[in-house]
Amino acid sequence: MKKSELPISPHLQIYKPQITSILSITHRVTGLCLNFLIFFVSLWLLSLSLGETSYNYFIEFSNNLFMKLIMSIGIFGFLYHAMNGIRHIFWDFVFLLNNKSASISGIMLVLLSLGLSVLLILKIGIFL
Amino acid sequence: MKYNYSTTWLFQKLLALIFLFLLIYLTFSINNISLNSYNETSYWFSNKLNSFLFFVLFTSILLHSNLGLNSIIDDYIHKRELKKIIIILKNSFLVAIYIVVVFSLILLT
Repeated sequence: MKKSELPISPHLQIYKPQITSILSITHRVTGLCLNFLIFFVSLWLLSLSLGETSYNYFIEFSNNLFMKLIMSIGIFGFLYHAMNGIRHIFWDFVFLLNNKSASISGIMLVLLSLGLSVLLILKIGIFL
Repeated sequence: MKYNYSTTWLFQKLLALIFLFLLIYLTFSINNISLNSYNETSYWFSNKLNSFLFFVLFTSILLHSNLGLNSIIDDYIHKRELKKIIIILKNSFLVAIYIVVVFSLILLT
């Protein structure tokens, strides 16, 4: 079989969805999407460097429900990606590596990242 | 040159740790100012240490992102021509962002 015809890896069509595989794919998806957040931050910095008028325009542009939702999802994506990255470092040092620990730490990861996201969104006051 | 996956893996983890600590520090540092205020935000960036740490943070984030995107491209795109195009687009995107950030930081400090 030609290399270009090889199935994608991980082979998503064969694996039965499990919490560990779903969280692993979510890690990649959040990592990919966080690039849009990087792009957004770079635009924010550019508007700041160009002066008060452009900065105020950027703040006004970001001050609507859609952008607030995007920012909230971005916060969740970042916290999830960061904490799952730490979980991966534990695995690299052969901690929490059996099936049960991997599933439990996965459930804890989702709950913790959701909880911390809500706390951070409230602290920053995005929806105020 | 042979691609060394172990070094890449170690580099990606180290970058993640560097920017995680920097991000925590900068979040606490920027917490005292109102980001809606142009004067307060530009004053924060006029401090050379803050700007330098922000620069290190952004550099490490972009390098980490580059390595992560490379591994996603490696795993999911096997057509050589398409892969080449996507890598060029990805590199252009990251370099453009880096130039914008460096240019902005120079103007602010």
